[in-house]
Order: sequence, then C-alpha cells, then structure tokens
Amino acid sequence: MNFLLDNLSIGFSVALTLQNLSYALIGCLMGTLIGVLPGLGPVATIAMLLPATYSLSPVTALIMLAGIYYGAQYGGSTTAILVNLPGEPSSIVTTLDGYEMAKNGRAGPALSAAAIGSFIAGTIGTVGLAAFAVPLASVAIKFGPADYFSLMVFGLIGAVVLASGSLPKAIAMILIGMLVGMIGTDVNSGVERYSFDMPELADGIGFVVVAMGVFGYGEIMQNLSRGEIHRDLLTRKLTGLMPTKEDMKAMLPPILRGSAIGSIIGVLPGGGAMLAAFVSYTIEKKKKLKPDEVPLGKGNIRGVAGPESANNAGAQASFVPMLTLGIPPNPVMALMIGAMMIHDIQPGPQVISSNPELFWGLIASMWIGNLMLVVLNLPMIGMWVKLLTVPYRWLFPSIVLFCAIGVFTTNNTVWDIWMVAIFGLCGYILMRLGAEVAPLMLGLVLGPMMEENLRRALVISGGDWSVFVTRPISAFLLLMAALLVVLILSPALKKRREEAFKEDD
Amino acid sequence: MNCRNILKFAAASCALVTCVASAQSDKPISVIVGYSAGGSADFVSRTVASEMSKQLGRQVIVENVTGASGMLAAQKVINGPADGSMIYMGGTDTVVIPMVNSKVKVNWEKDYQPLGRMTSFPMIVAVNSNSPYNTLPDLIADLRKGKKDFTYATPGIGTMQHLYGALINKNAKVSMVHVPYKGGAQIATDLMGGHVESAILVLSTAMPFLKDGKIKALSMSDTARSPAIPNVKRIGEEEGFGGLSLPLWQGWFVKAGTPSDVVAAYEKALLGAVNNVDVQAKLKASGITPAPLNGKELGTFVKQQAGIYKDVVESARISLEE
Amino acid sequence: MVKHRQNFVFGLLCMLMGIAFAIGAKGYSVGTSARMGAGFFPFYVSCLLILLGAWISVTSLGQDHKPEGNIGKLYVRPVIFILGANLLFGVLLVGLPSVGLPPMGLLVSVFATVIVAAMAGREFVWREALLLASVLAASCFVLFVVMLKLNLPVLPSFLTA
Repeated sequence: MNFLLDNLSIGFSVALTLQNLSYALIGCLMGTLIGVLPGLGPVATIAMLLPATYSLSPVTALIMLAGIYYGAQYGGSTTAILVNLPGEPSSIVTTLDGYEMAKNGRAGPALSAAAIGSFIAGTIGTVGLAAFAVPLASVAIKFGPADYFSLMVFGLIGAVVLASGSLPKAIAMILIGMLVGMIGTDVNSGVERYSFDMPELADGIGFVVVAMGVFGYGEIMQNLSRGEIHRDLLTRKLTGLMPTKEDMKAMLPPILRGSAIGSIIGVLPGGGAMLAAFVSYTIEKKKKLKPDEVPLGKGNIRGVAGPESANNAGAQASFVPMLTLGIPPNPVMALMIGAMMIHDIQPGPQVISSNPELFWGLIASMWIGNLMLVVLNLPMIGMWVKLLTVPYRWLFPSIVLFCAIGVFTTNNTVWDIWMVAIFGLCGYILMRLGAEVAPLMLGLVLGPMMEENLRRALVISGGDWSVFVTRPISAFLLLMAALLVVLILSPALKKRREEAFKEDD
Repeated sequence: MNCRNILKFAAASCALVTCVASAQSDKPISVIVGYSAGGSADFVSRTVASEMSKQLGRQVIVENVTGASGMLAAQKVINGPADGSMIYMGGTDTVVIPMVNSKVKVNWEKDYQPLGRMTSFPMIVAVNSNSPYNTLPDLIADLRKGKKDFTYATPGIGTMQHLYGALINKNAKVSMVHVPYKGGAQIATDLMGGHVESAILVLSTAMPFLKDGKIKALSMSDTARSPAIPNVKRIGEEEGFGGLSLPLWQGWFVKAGTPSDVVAAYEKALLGAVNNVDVQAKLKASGITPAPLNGKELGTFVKQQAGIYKDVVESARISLEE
Repeated sequence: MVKHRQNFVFGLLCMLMGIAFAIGAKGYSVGTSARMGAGFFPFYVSCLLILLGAWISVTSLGQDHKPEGNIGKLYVRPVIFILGANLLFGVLLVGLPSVGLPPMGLLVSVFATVIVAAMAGREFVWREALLLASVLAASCFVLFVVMLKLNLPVLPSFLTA
C-alpha cells in the first residue's frame, strides 16, 4: 500500500504541473468535441495531432493523447443518449436506455449518470491500474484463440439480452449482423467474400458506416414518417437536469459493478471495453426490478450508469497491456505507442522501472483527466439538453450532414458515403418491420472475431475441437454461456407470454 | 431569422472564401498512402513529406486512402493524371499483392516510375523464450526429424511475413503451419502466452520484447546483420538460402509517363529529404531504418526482390483466391 | 391469414438474405477441421438464419389479426430526400467525372446537403433552410478545417486551380 502511495505521489507531482494540466485540458476538450461529432473517432484525430506532439515532452504528449481518448468516449455517450447515434461499438448499449430516457424528457439525468458513472469508474480504474497493472497484464496473455472464441460465444448470447422485443427477431438480427460482418477479406484464407470483385469491399464494411446508416439515417427517416408531433412532445416535458436522490441511489450499485467488470474485461485486446459495457448491461437487465422501476430498455437509469462505467473502466484497463507489455489492444493505443517511440521510449515491461515518472504521471493524469471531464461535462449538460429543444426540422438536416462528413473522413473515401445510404435504407426497412438494430451491430462486431478465433484455434490444435473444453478459461466461458442461455430462456419465456397476453387485451 | 442576418452571413462566408482561396493558390502535391494514419507507412510519409516540402518549396501533403492492402491507393494514382500531382507510397505490397490476387491489376513496372527508396528494415523469426530452439538450424533439424504442427504466426495471408515463413519452408524443405492474424498486435500476445510456437515480426516492434528476454530471435531477413541483434544470423547465411535477403522496404513512385523534369526534381528532393539529418534521426527513433536509393536503384532493387517473391508465391501456392 | 404482418415480412427477408449468403458461401471452400475454409462459417450462419426466418414467418400466420404488427404507410419522401442529401454530399464533394462535374468542395456540398435534407420534413421553409445551411457551412469550416485540420477540399476545384 505504501509503495502505491509513493508511486501515486510521484505521478501527481508530474501530472500537476501547469503545462501538463493545460495539455490534459486541451486533450479533453478536443476529445469531447470529436466524440460528440458522429462518425469522427479518436483514431483519426490522434493521428493528425501526433506530429504536433513531437515538440512536447513524452509525458505531456501522452497526457494530451490520453485526454483525447477519454474525451472522445465521454462525447460519444452524449451523442448516443441525445440522438441515438453510437459512434463506436461501446456506446451501442448506451443508446438503449439513454435514448429512451431522453425521449421521456430525462436526458439530463441520463447524461449525468453517464458522467458520474464514468468518473467513479475512472477513479476505481486508476487505482486498479496502479495496484494491479502487472497481474492484470498476465490475464491478457493467458487468453488464447480458443478462449477468445468462447468469450465471443458468451458475448453473442449476451447480445440477445439487449433486445427488449421479440427474442427470435433479436437472434435473427444478430445473425444478419454476423453475415454482413463476413463481407470482405477472410483473415484465415485471404479470400474476399461477398465482395463482387470490388476492391472497396475487400476490407469489409466499417462499423461507423453501418452505425451511421441504421441508427442515424434509419432513425431520422422513421421519425419523419411518424410525423413531427411525436418528436416535439418529448422536448417539452423536460424534467430536471440532475438525477434525483432516487436516481442516485439506483445508479450507485450498477456503477460499482460496472467498474469492476470493466477493470477486468477491459484488459483483453480487441473489444474489451465494449464487451465490458455489454456484460454490465446483461447483469443489470437480469437483476430483479424494484416494484416501481421502469424495465431496462424503456429508460432505466441503471442501463446507462452500469455500461457507461464498465466502458470507462475498460478504457482505463486497456492501457494495461500497452504499458506493461507494449502491446496495443486497439488502434488508439497503437498510436500512443508510436508517440512513445518517437520520444525514444520503448514501451514494454521495462517502462515502469525505466521511466517511473512517465508511467505514474500518465496514471495520475488519467484520473485528473476524468475529473476534468466530469467538471467540464456536468455544466454542459444543460447546454446539451437545450439542443433537444431545437426544433427537429433543424436538427435532422444537421445530423445528416455530420454523419456524411464523419463517414467520409473516417477513410477519406466517397465509397463509404454510398454504403451509408444503403445501410440507411436497410435500417429504415428493418425498423418499419419492428426489428431492433442494436443486436445487429453486435453481431457485426463480434461475429467476425468469433469466426477468426474459432478457425485460428483449430489451426493451432490441428483440427481438434476438444480445445474449447479442455482449456480452463474457454471451458469456464462456455459454461457461463450455457448458464446465460438457461437464464434467458426461463424467465423470458414466462414474461414474454405475459406480455403477449397483455397486448391481446 | 430575417433577411439582414442572411446577408450578414453571406458577407462573412464570402470573406472566408476569399481568404481560403488565396491560401490554396499553389496546388500541393499529394502523397497517397494506402494505410491508415498513424501506421509506419503513414509516419514515414509524413516525416519525409514535410522535409520534401521545404526542398521543393511546394506543399507536400499526405492523403490516406486505405483499403484492399493498399491497392486502392495504388489504383488511385494509376487512375490519376501523369503530371506529378500525386505520389504513390509503395512497398512490398505493391509487388506482392498483384502476384497473389489476379483481380488486382497493378503492375509496378509498367504503371509507375520509381522516385526513390526511403526505408528498408528486417523481419525476424521469433520464438518464446521457453522454446528449446536458439537458432534456425536447431528448429529446422527438429522439423526434419518429424516434429509436426509447428506453428508460425504472421499478420495475414500474402504479407511479407507470410512469404518469409514460406521461404523457410521452401528452401529448408520443412512444413511449418501458417497461422494468419489480422494485423500484428495480437501476435505478440499470443507468442508470449505460448499460444503459437513462433511468429514472424518486424524487428523494430519486436525489440522491446527481445530486450526484455520474453522472446528469442532465430533468424533475420535483412542484407546485413543488424547492430541491434548482432548474434542473430541473417537468412542468407543459412545453408540452402544462397545469400538471399527479404527486407521490408518503402519507396515513392509517380505514375508512369510523368514528365522527366518533374521526376528528376522530385527524385532529387526525395533523396535530399531522406538524407536529411533530422529526418534520419526521427525515423531511427521510431525503429525505422532509413535506406535511401534513387529511382533507378530502387527499380533494380525491386526487380531483384520481385524475383524472390515470385518464386516463393508460386512454390507455396500463396493465393488470395479459391 | 397473416396475423402479424411485420414478422411475416421480416421472416421472409431473413430467409432471402440467408439464401443469398448461403449460395455465396457455396462458392468458397468448406475446408477441413484443421484448416476450415472461407465457406464453412458463413454457410452455417446462413442456414441458421433461413431456419429462424422460416420460423418467424410461420408463427406469424394465423387468424387473430394483430394491429400492432401492421407495417403502416410507407413514406417515400423522407427516404428520397434524406438518402438523396447524403448521396449529393458525396457527389458534390469529390465530383463526378463521368458527367464532367468537378469536385465542388466542402462549402457547396454542405449547403446543398442541408437544403435537400431539410426538404424531407413536412414544414420546409426556404428561408429557414438557407439560414441553417449557411450556419452549418460556416461551422463546418471552422470545426473540421480550422480546428480539426481535416484534409477536406474547401472550395470548388475550378476556383483553386
């Protein structure tokens, strides 16, 4: 414990200089800005800003980049809640209850829940990172392809939980997402599948393109078809900006649960933070509702607070493999490693001992960044909520525009703009048929990862399927997946029948 | 919401427009990079481009056109005008991808005019530090004795890493099992976690793990031994490899048919930029080895390398089609 | 006949998509257990989707008509204008060489996109749309070009050449 305090004090003495604080602030502001703009991600921005950080000291440069990363996460949840646009996989879950809350006039509490949850998770994540970085790193190494496959099975079964409507339809949407994810070059054989010999399809269809299409355009067309009365109603009955006492009481346990989940699952390379958000939602949804509580998926604050905390703690935890092993778990981290190398710091296990001020300074600044974000964002909630009072006839052309620009700038190709139109149309049709799009997005992200790891595990085992049950991690995850199936089927069947009867009346 | 406001706006936008127009009067040269911002190709291009701007007195900007292993960028330059307005950032993929995928109609010899090489850097064959093997002959001997299912991980089918593994299989007459990944990040974790037995890595990204003793290098692919790992034999020194080498390289090209004065000017500026002390320092700091060659030398070099690629691709039947 | 029209059509669509992907997957090798081919996984996923789609369609048949399952009127206007605005953005930004349209740059594209998108609504007012477009064009320039320094052409190419 003592060494922890010593180390954190080194960290804070580094992070609390005026220069570092101001760069953290700039980073957070930039990040929030790009996060709020749909389609723009931190990767492009960090890449653009990288040359500008060459002149800074390595700690300062990393602090600023980390600020952008967190800021983008914060900003992303704002868009997810306000206009139902998830800018990255981890905010899909936030749209479910966040946007419902916004529709019920509770955008303020939803945004505060996200902000407060993220801050608490950030704090827990920082302490966790400081204390357990090295043991956590070994978790990341222990996960082999077979274990990833089982994790994806677990994740996809969990995706069913996201649906609040019909179960078979949700499963169908997951399968559709998986198939769309198969488009493009197959990692294991190099074959281009379903690409019709178009080189633009060789890399598959990007998450942003599908998300902007089905969530962004699909939703807008759906709203316009319904008529505007519906939309204007929700802005008028705005209730309080801040969460009430009951809200606070309801959201604290999910925040703590989410933080714990995020800190552990987040270390897994490739979608750790998203899976964390998602496991947290599953848990919240499976918890018994209090008598007067709104069910999850209909605007329950727990459905925002839990996943948002898990997501942020996961983002924190994703620094673990990078700092301790030098392995970037996502593109943002890869860029950060680039930034370290430019300053002649070799990322890897030796960073903690060779550059303690960098390691601990970065960790301290993560917490400071989180604090800054909560301080910046809580007062801004009022402003964001005002955005909802802008008449919809002004809002939707702006969303269309920002989606189009965001989609274009992700890869700088106009091809993505044609694709987003196609997915917009698909999204609209699917929504008109009463299907939910969140499970489709998860299928899109998890399906290809699942296939890739299944096939890789079998290549390594020489075609022996038993690896999935003989490896302890994999066996455990498959067992959990089986339990989840039982859990989903038993009460859901009963509940669904009840719902069906209710609808008949 | 009245007309006066609209007029004000119009006036403001006009002012904006004129100011933007004057800033763009000198048309910049675009460097088309086929990989996303932040990667090594992007980094090298940006570093060299900024110095080249100074040398040419004309803005050189980097444009990322990602997709299809960089082939969208390659195609974009071919489809553009042959006036030097676009420079193509080429590399091993430019030569290999058309060999493994007949749908890609890019012919580096006919479609481009080489400007010069910028970098060249080695790959290594790495194993976990618990592995019983310390040199490539150790491993080959064991494989010949009948060891089965020895896996090597690479960042994908048809990558240079894959070619390196296939080259060892071909020349040493062994059969290691190829495990393709999607990019490089996951490979290091799986190698350290013992999920794959070996991996082919770019030396610079493997360096921290080597220094830390987490992995061992059995062989490296460059033309000369690397000062960073002086004890690791280069592949050309091994028996049966006849002195060949298989480095990764990056160079700039323009569309074939570009006026020769433009080519000459670019070539000179590029060579100057890559030889610049600051540029070299920046590249080396990121673990990238500057290796300047002029356009003609690059052409000869690529032609020689392309022969090796072709042999390996054909003998290992590497293909992106079924 | 059909008691839940949404589900019926949804199920049919699933089956169609499943069949299309399964036919496509037939073109790729199935491989062996040790080296599974590119066709294995998509084929079985497609089959699952076909079965599920069939089940959803079949269970939506029946006598007691469910009004909440009605698809409702399809509105063409928002679809045309929203997607049209999006396509127009792409066309104007990079130009369409086949009809001789040069790249028009960010400002023109933003203007056109916003106006066309606004037409998707029922209460379209020219003056309002023009104002909104101007505000957005200016803010896009500041946001994307000045602040985020994205590599976007700002003006039509014939003005910058």
